[in-house]
Amino acid sequence: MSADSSDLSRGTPTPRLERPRIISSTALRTSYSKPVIRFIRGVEVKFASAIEIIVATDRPIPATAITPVLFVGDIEIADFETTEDGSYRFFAFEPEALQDGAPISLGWPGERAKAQRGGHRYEIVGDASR
Amino acid sequence: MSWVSGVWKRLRAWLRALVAALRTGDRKEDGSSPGVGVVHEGLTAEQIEIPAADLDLRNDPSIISPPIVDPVYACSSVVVLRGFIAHADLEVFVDGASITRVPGGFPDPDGQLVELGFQLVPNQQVQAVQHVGLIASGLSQPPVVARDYSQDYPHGPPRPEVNPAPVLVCGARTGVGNLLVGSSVWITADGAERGRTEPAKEQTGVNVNPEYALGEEVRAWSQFCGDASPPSERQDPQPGPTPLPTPGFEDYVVGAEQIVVTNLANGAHFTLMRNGVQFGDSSAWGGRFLVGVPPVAATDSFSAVQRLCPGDVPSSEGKSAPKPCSALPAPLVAPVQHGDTRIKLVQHAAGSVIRVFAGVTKIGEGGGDEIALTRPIQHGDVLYIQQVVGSCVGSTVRRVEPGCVDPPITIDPADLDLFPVGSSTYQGPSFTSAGVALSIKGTIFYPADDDGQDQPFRAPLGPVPLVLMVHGNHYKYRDPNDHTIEDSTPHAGWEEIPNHRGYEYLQRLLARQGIASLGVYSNETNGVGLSETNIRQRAALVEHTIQHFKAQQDAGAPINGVAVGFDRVGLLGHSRGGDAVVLAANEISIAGVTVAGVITIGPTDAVFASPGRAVNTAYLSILGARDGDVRANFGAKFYDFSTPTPFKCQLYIDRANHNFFNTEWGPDNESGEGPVGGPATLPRYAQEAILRSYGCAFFRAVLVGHPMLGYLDGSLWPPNVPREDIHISYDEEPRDLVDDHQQANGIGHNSRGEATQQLSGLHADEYSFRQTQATTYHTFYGNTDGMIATTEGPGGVFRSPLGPAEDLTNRVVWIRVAEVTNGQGVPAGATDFELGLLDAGGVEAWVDANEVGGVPRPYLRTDSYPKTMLSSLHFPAECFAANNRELRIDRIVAIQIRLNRADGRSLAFDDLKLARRREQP
Repeated sequence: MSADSSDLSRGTPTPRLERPRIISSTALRTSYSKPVIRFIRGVEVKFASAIEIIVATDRPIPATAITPVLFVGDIEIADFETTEDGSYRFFAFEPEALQDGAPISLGWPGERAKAQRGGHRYEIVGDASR
Repeated sequence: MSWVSGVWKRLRAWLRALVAALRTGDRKEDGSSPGVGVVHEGLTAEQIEIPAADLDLRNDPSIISPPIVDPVYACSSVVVLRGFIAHADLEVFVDGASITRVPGGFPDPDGQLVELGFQLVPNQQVQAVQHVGLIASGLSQPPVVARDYSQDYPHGPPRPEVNPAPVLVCGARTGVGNLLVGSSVWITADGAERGRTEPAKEQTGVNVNPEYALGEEVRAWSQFCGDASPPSERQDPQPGPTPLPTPGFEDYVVGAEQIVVTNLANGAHFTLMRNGVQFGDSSAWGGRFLVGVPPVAATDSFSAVQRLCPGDVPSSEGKSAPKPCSALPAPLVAPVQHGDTRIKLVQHAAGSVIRVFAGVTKIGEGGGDEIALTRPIQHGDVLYIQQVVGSCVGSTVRRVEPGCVDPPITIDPADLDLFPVGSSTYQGPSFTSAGVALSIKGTIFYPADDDGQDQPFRAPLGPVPLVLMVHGNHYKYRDPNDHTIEDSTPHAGWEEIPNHRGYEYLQRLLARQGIASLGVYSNETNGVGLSETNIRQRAALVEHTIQHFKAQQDAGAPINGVAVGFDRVGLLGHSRGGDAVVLAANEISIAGVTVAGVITIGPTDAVFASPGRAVNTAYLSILGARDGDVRANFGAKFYDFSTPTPFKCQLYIDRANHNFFNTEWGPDNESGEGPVGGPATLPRYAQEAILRSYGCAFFRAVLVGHPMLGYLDGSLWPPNVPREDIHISYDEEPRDLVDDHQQANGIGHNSRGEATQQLSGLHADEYSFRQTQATTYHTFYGNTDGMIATTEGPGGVFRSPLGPAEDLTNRVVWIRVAEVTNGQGVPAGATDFELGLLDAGGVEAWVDANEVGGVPRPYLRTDSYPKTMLSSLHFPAECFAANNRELRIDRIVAIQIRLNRADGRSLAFDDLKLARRREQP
């Protein structure tokens, strides 16, 4: 019967669609004129800046319920939006966790080992403001 | 257990297809009702056809079945009788007094209407007897009590349905269904009456004069007890096919007295020839037409032509000849379970006499699609069913081994059709969630005065419940010329995908039943990664949409006058929308708003860390075993989390995928379904049929109070769903628990604190049924603890004492069970177990799980994710008593599980409890 607990199940299976390949990735230290808001454990948190990694892919990321994440080394970045030109803007709100030179790949949550490798590496190439 | 699959349309329509309205004299017709798609259906009883000569069946001519009296309401001056032998005399009794005796004609297609000569008043009791020669049946039992119809239809008679539709230009006869027995029914064209029939049966033909013309607006109407129904859906007469199809004939054998002409156009006039000579002619409402004929001789032949408009070239001539008597098959029987007092046939020859034997002893003889028995089906009965057509006695019989539990297939909860359906789009002010502007907009469906866009709300209903339907993440744009080409960004000439309109097929049904609903536009939350923020934005859409509608209503300006009862709000969410509605149900706090029930379909679970993932209202979790997107079936966790207050239900559906519940979402491989392997995906229409039936059952139960829980606990089956694919878990309050393995007292004690025993080589322990790769059993995806049992050899027993002896009369033992899979594959062949009761005198009795439906097989996925998914089995206590007459079910002291199979497989168990037997409506 029921037992209310926090069972994260982060290793649970994810979609098996073929993931797109990364064509290019550009990491920018971005500051916001209007803070970006995210919910974290039920609390609204405002961010004045973040690392944005703009990723172009060889095909669209599938619009599934469970969406791919961007791996920067061991770090999973799930938060992304689709840009008008069909690229993807991934948001890293804890940039200190990202290591320069770490490999960048697309994969499914919890499945870094299966993530695609394409020689792309994390490197902040400039600043931006939005 | 063997599973016999067939291809069915709706069972009810199918049964009607063997039954239809009385035309004139002995001519009867039928039309297949508007289909919702063909769905296959399992007949669970063991059914084989064997030679009658192998048996010594005792055809005692003195045993004939009582007729079946259809439910009837006060005000009716007629009753409908079924199940009688062709040409029997029918005698009707009201309050014990004989009222009339009439010749019965044929029971096919849908029984005989018998005039009483007066109107019934509430609580009068109707019974009937059939007479064949000097032999009389017993009185039909139990008496049918004439109810005040307004108890079941407080807002007037249901709206008539033109059936079949559409009507055709020059059509001269129209079938009308969804009628109350004894009502008046009439047809109008452009407002002028064209034909009337009274009193009517549930499905009735109306002759139309003059015939329909192009451009006319055709409606059917009915009246009962002085109250008028809403009009039927508008029909626009369509030109008939050119050329008209050639009439066909269903097979019939020498000796037949009723033949079936098929392929008739709607409203067509047809002429039947016998041996080249005109036998008769008639108009037909289309589809099938049953004609009474003199006994067919081996040398007879029949032919038929049809026409629609005068002067048209008639169709080609369809011809037929009788088959020999040896071609008469045994009838096919619907599920039968212990205690049944009738059997339903799903296939039989028109006009045939049906004989039912238990062993070699006759326990019923009647006709038509349902036969009353002279005694209930008992444990150990083996039934033989035979049909007789005239002088032709079937050479084979259907052998049926009824199960202890083999639930009947009954009417579809989606079929209730009371009101016309209005629809509209709505738009409210935008709002901001997490910095993103979101629009309040979508579509609304509601009960209306008439069908169509922006029709006025059916105001006499007063406030109606409201359901919000919330879609999930999907592409936002598509090629208008090829809807399978989709993207998250727009391309030149593309259109926005109306993802929120993907559940309109359910919205329309709910509106017919008096429930308004919204398709909530959520595209502005699509095209982003799965995150807590995204789910909270979707939940905010739900809350703001309710606020918008409530504010409009409070201001006296609801859209099209739709009055909403905000104390009866339901939520349905699909995929990320499912995640959102669970959150919304927990967090919505709007004065005067009560969320009474939640349905999730393949929900994500992105708000991991938030408390309150339980649904604390009525809850239905729909899970596709073949879901290639949310493959972890997170809804199983939600089910386990949730309180059964007042109830919760889980449908785990083999072959069901993620997308096909939404009509706007594309095919498997284009829209998020991975290659999961295993059997082919359940077709889209079948998945929609599941949501139609169970969605209506759920919201009718929760929001309107209709007696629908039998569908949700698995003791009734809708006719249109793929039964063999659906595995139900169900729980409700109050819970008379024996063991749910949640207490910290180990396997040695059950939830009542009683010491359990492991006997005869059984090994059992308690385990987490959560999905964790590290444990021995890593194929669970729920959120509960349970018991896994294995045995050293067949016969290991787990005993769970109740404490003081309990009376289990009219009670049922419930248990959730699953075959434990290793996640790599699924072994061949089913496994099962036995459940036992032990009384205070040490007497025990066992019932095999396969007598109550059996342990479901794990769904075979070749992607390494077969799951151990629990389903509920229900064991009526009376089944144990039937297996051992020595057992005292009024003094039961323990429940036992015996692993009696030699396959060495492990079984998982949970939620052993006692419940009252549910009274079925």
